[in-house]
Parts: sequence; C-alpha cells; structure tokens
Amino acid sequence: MNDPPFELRSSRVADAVVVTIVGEIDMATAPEVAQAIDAGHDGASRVVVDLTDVTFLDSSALNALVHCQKSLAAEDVAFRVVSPSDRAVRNVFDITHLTGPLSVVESLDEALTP
Amino acid sequence: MSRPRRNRIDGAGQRGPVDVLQRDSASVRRWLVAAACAAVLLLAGISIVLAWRQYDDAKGQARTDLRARVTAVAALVDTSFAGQIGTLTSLGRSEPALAERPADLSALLRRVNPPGTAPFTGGMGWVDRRGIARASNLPQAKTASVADRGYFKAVLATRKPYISAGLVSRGVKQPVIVVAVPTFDPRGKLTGVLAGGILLRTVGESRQALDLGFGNLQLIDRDGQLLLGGLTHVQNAPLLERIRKLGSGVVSGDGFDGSGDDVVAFATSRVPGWVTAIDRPASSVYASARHAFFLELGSVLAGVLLVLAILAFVTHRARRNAEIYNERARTWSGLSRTLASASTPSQVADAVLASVTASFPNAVAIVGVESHGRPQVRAASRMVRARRLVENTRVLELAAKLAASGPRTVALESEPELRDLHTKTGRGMRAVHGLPIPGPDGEPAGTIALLSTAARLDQSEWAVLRSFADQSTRALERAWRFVQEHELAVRLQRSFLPERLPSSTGLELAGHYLAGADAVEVGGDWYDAVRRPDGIVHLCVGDVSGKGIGAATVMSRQRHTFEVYAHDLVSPAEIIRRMLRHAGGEEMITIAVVTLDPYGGELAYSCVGHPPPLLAGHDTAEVVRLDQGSAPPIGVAVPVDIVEARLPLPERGELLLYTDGLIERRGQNIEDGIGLLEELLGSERSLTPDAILERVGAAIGRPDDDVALLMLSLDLPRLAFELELPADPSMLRGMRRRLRAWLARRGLEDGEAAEVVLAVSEACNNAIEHAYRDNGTGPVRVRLDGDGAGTLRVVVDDQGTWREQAPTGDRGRGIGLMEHLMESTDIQSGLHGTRVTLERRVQAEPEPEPAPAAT
Repeated sequence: MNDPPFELRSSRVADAVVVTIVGEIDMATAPEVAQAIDAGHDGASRVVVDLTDVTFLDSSALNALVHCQKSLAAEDVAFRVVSPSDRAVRNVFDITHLTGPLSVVESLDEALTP
Repeated sequence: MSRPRRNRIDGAGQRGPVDVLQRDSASVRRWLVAAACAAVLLLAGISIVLAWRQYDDAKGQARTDLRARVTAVAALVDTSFAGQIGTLTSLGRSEPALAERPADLSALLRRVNPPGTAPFTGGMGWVDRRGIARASNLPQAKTASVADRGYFKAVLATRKPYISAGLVSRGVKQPVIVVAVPTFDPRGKLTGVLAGGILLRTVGESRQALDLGFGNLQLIDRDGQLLLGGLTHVQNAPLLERIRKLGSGVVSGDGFDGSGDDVVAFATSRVPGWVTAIDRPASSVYASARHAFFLELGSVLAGVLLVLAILAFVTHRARRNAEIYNERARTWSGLSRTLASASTPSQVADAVLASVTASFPNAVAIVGVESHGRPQVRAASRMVRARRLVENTRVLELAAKLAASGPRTVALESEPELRDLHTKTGRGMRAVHGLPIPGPDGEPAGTIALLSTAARLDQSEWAVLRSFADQSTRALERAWRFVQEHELAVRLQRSFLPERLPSSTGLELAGHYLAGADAVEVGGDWYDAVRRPDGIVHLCVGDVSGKGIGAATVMSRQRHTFEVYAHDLVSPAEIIRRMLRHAGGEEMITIAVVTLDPYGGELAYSCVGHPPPLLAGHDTAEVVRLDQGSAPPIGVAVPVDIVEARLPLPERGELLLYTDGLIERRGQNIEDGIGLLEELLGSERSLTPDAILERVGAAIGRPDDDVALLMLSLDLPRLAFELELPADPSMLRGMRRRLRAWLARRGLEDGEAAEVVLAVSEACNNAIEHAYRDNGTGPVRVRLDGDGAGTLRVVVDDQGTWREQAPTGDRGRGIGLMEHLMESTDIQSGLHGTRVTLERRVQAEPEPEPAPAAT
C-alpha cells in the first residue's frame, strides 16, 4: 500500500536551470514544483522543466507551469518543458493546447539547444 | 423419531429389583412348563406300555385261533377218514363182496362211487388175498398186483382198516392216499382187501379255506411226507419230532422248510396218525395285532403332540404377556435416566412416547406437550396396522383432548368423531385411555393417551401410565427452564455480535454464531467486521476463554475496542496491539484480524493464538493458510512482537475466519481439523457458513463448543469503487493508485485508464477546493461503477459550495479536461454540496464469474 515516490531535483547546465521531476504532479505537489522553478532560476537565461519521468499530471500541474512560464517570460528567461515519456501523460498538453505556449519539446537536449 | 436407548444392566453392573423379579418369574415359568411336559410324556409312556401288552395279548389270541383251526382240521380229518372206512367196511359186507363176485362188486362200486368223484377220487378196487385186483369202479382197470404195497400187507397182517401214507397210484399215476379195509366171507375168513384212493390235489385248495384262516395248511403223514406239498419230506426233522411228541400246540421258530420266523400250530389226527399243521410267517399271523398296536401307538403320539402344542401355545402367550410386563418395568426404570438427559420439551415428549410405545404394544401411543408456546402431539405404535393412524393429526389431537380431562377411558363407539376407527377401518381400535401430565400450576402440561385395542386398562397399566405422567411433569419443568435459559443465552450472545456486516456487491460477508448444544451460558466467541470510509475492510474473529458473564464482558470490551481502532488504523497488528492493551484480565484471548484493501487488491493480517484464517483463490485453486503473522495467545505468554503479513488478494475467492470450536474435537488433532477446512474450501466454491458447519459436522461430528465463523466471498471485478477521502490533496495520490488497480481489474487499457484517473482526479480537485474555501472538513465521496452495459459512471460528491468561475481561469482547465476526457460531464450544485457526474463508455466490462470447475 505504498504510493509511488515523488522527487524534485534542480541542476544547472551552462546558463540553464534544469528542474527534474519524478512521480506524480497533482494538487498536492504542484505548489512544490512551482516553488522550485521560481526559487532556482536566479541568473539563468533558461529554465528547463524535465517531465520525462512524470507519471501523472493534472490541471494543477498545468496551472503551475503556465504560471511559471508567465512570470519567467516577464523576467525574460526562456522556458522549456521536456515532454513526459508516458504518452497518456503527454496527451494532457495537447488536450489543453498548451504544447506550443509552454514550449513542450521532445528531449532534454532539444530543450537545452538555444 | 428416535427411540430412547434401552438401559440394559449387564452382569458387571448393579442388578435392580426389577431384574430379580424378571429372573424369578421366568424360572418359575420354566419349571411349570418342564413339569407339564414331563407329565404328558409319562402318560404317553404308560399308554405305550399298555398298548404293548395289548399287542402281546393279541398275539396270544392269534396263536390260539390258529391252534383252534388246526385242531378243527385234525378232527375233520378224523371224521372224514372214519366215514370213508365206514363206507368201505359196509361195501365189504355187501352181497357181491361176501359172495366174492368181482363183476357184481365192480358194478356196485361204480354205482356207489362213480369214477372221479368224491370221496374216492383216485378210484376203488378189491384185491384178493394174493394182491391181485379183482374188482374196480374204473372201466378198464389194469390187473396189477398190489401185494407189495404197505397198506395191503398191513391190512392182511392186522385184519383191520388201514390208511396209507402218501404214495403214487399205479392206476392213475398220481399222488394218492389209500384207505383199505379187509373183506371177509360169511364164515369170517379173510377174502381180500377193499381199497379206495383219494387224489391228494383236491385237498385244502379252496379259496374259502384261505379266507377262513386255513391257508398254509399242511398234512404230514406217518412217513413225514407233506401230503399237500407234492409228497416232499419235511426238512425240519427236529420240528416234526417235537410236534409228534407234543401231539398238539403252537410253536414259534423255523418252519417245516427249515427257515424263516414262522408260527406253527399243529394237532394230530387219531385215525391216520397224521399231523395237521398250519405253518405261517409270524408277520402274517400277527398282522392284525400289529395293526391294532400301531393304530394305538399312532393315536397316543397324536394325543401327545396335541397336548404339547396346546402347552406351547399357552406358554407362548404367557411369555408374551410376561415380556410386555417386563418391557414396562424396564422402560419405566430406563425412562428416568433418558429423561434426565432430555433438555427440550420435544425431547421429553420423544422419550415418554418411546416408553409408552414399548409398554403398550397393542396400542397407538400419543403424547402431547407444549413446545415453544404451541401444543404438539406426536404418536407412535408397534402395531403394523396402525401405521397410517399415527399420521392422522385429527384423531391424535382429539385423543389428546380427551386425555386432558382424564384419567379416563372413552369407548370409541361413544365418540362420534372416532367411531369410524372402530367400525369402518377394521383396525380393531376400541377405546382411548388417557390422562393429563400435571403441570406446576395445576393446569395440564401435556397429555398421555393410548388409542387401544383393549376396551379397558387394568390397575397395573394405569399405574404405569401414571408413573410416566409423573416423570414427565418433572422432566418438562426442567426442560422449560432449560429452554428459557438457553434462549436467554442465545439472545444475549446475539447482542454481542454485529447486527449487520458491511457487505457489498463483490465483497459479501456472512457471519455465523453457533452456541454449544447444551449451552445455557454466553460463550466467549465473537466476530466483527468494519469497513472504513476509505474502503479498507477489517475482519476480526476472537475467542475469550471461559463462559458466562465474565467472558462475555471481556468479549464485549474486545469487540468495542476493535471497532474503535479499526476506524482509526489500517494495520491489523496495530489494531491487535491496542485491543490487547484493553484486555487486562486473566482470561486467555485469541484474536485474528484480516485487513483488506479490495481496490488496491491487497491483504494484511495478524493473529494472536488463533487458528489461521484460510484464503481460497479461485484462479489458483489453492488454499492459503494465513499463519505467518502469528503470536501466542495472550494470557499464556505476553506477546512480545505482534507481526503482520501481507499477500495479494485473489480476484475471486473465499476467506474464512473461525474460532477453534469449529474444528477442535476431544481427542483429535487440531491440525487435522484445519486440513479438513482447507480441503473443503479447495473443493467447493461459494460455501455459506451454514454449509461449512454442516460439512464439518458430517466429517468430524457436531462441535462440542461455541463456534464463531466469518466468511468473506470475493468477486473483485464486480466490486464498485467507492470511498470517502478527507479534503486533503495528499490523499489523492493513494486514491489514484487504488483506482488504477480497480480499473485494471475491470479490463481497461492503460491509456483509457489514465484518462479516467485524470478525470476523477480533476473532479476531486474541485471538491477539495470547495471544501478548503469554505473551511469545511467534510469528506469527498468518490464512486465509480459500471452500468452493466459498457458505460462507466463516476460520481464525486462534496459538502462544500460551488462557485462559478470563468472557464478561462485556472479551474476552468480542470473542467475542460474532464469534459474532454469523458463523454458526459454534469455538475450539480446544491445547498449541501456539489455532485460531479461523469460518464464514459469503456471497452471492457467485468466478465461474470466463470462456472466452477467440475470436481
């Protein structure tokens, strides 16, 4: 009766900040994600949110990402989202038409390419 | 209906006065019968002896008769020869003879005795002194000389008449005897011999002679020749000698032919000196005597047999009567013992009925008692012809009613409703005899009645009935008390058990409590089940040692503790730990707790000192013994570590929790009992607790002790997903995990399932948001179920208030997702909360449970 783990890591690659998330992002964890993105981008020109290992994503997560993207754009920091590897999870971006606005890309490399 | 065990008293045990009486009367009866038999045989013996003597007399008579006949024959011979000599003598004195004129004499002879006629069938003739035949009655007589013949010589020598021995005639060449007389001239000078021959074959052959008892007549001449037997000589010379010496008489022994067991009667004729005899086999002589003897013997034997038969019949009757009395005495003494173990009014009635039936074999026994507030009448009989009668409720009830105002006898003829029994059916019933069983308050507590072939009962029979009634009174009183106490105990016990169990489709629970057969006290076994709002189900079975109010108190406390902690805790080990903290007392307690997550598909359990619960999975056809999470019972040792074990839940199967009373029997290993249960669960699906009790009872007998059973039937694919969440976002992750497992069990593909999970999660997000906003703590209810036709329906309820928001806001995205993922989305807000209803067609529906494999 153990729930799947939730992990959140932040790392720097050149001038980019990569926030890696493992597990489920929902109403309970979305605030943590938003906070991690907000807190870790000082001096970075790009923030990449790596969702490769995310297994669940709901509207709370999307709201958080949209919120971050807006505030980063205001500070002129580029924002990229690496698509979840699970197709069912990835579909959420398409359904909500956020693939473009959130700059969802297929891989971390692509996200780091200027 | 079972008859009470008859209490036999064997040699090793005590002998009651009843048995002594039975033995003594039986031995007296045996002596009487033996004496009567001896007397009959003695009389028969005397009769036989008398008959024998009569037989002897008859034999003597037969001999005397025989002798008389012989004597008569001898006299006849004498007379006959005297006559013939007379005839010849007078012929010798006739004119021609005196004148010695042969021709005239021949003519005379022919005239007196024509040839071939009696008496001288062998011819007559006259010879002169030289032996030359001179005259004859035969036409062409040869003139042969007879000078050499004995009779000629004898007559010449003696000058007297003479009768020859048997000889063969020279004239007719046949055996003859010759009668000869001398002839004289007028001067008295011997002139010759006049002789006549008698042919022997004409003597003694007539039928009349045989009929008159002259058969086997023998004439023996001087030379010992049998004249009637072709002139053969008597072979048995000593016999002949003896006869000649005695003259006349009867002798037994060998006959004339020297052989055989003969009787010979004899007499001697004076004239020719012959012996006349009748020589016959003894059997023929004594035939009529023997006949009479056997007739006599036969009638004596027939008489004896008749008397013995009468004796046997009388003895049989006496024995039968004695048996009835003995049976009565035996049942009477046995009844009190049988009644002592009868604990219900029905058992009392059965015992009394069996005793009455045994005591009155010629009647239908009827016993009426009140049981569970209703009058009951039962009947039995040893009479074959009354077989139908014992089922005739109308007759039985009427008889019982008549008995209630007894003791009395009612003739059937005087009862219009019962008259038929006497007249029509030919069962030969004549009367109802009955009396009430007195109750403690003076009112009849029941009735004993006999529908009998006897018109009246004698005093001893009434005494038997009265004693049955008295014994019944006491036994019924005891039985009613017992029943009341038992019912009280059962009611009390039920109050300690849950009124209803949290069953739902796909997860059926059935509990059963069986009080020990004789229990009038509350037992310490119990079961309970709690379904938590999050869908987790705790099952518990426990056993507090001992009985009565002490054990019941501990049990009741244990159960309440369980219910309280079961709502708060998920871990079975932790629940038990808390329960034991509240146990306290001296009693030994065993507990088993099994916790199921029916959505997540997992099971955890923990036991202290309890027989292992059994889990049978239909898909694996395997019975798992839940014996990993065990500890010794509390009270025996303080459990140091209460461990918990887990395993996956089968989709379909049974889980059985029980107390040791189910399988523990005196003198049997409890392991065997558990093995039996495993076998039972493995071989048969969907057993009810009743069925389990029945099967176990059939295999190892009824439980000695109380039994608590809790049975869970799982059919997870049919189970609806239904739970309550606290309004806390951190609870959602767990809910989703369990929902995924539930959806997978219903056959949804991963992608489809993920979409449903997302939609449900969004609905929950909404609900939690409302709850937060209004500072409410009300739960969020989630329910998913198929409609059986391919549509999945989701309902999420909260107790907050919905507020419309612009669809472009953050919340709008969630609703948009739901609407996109599901085919219909309906949001209803009211004063007491909001209900979101989502529907979507899914590809798979749970299949019905496959038919159980043939066993």
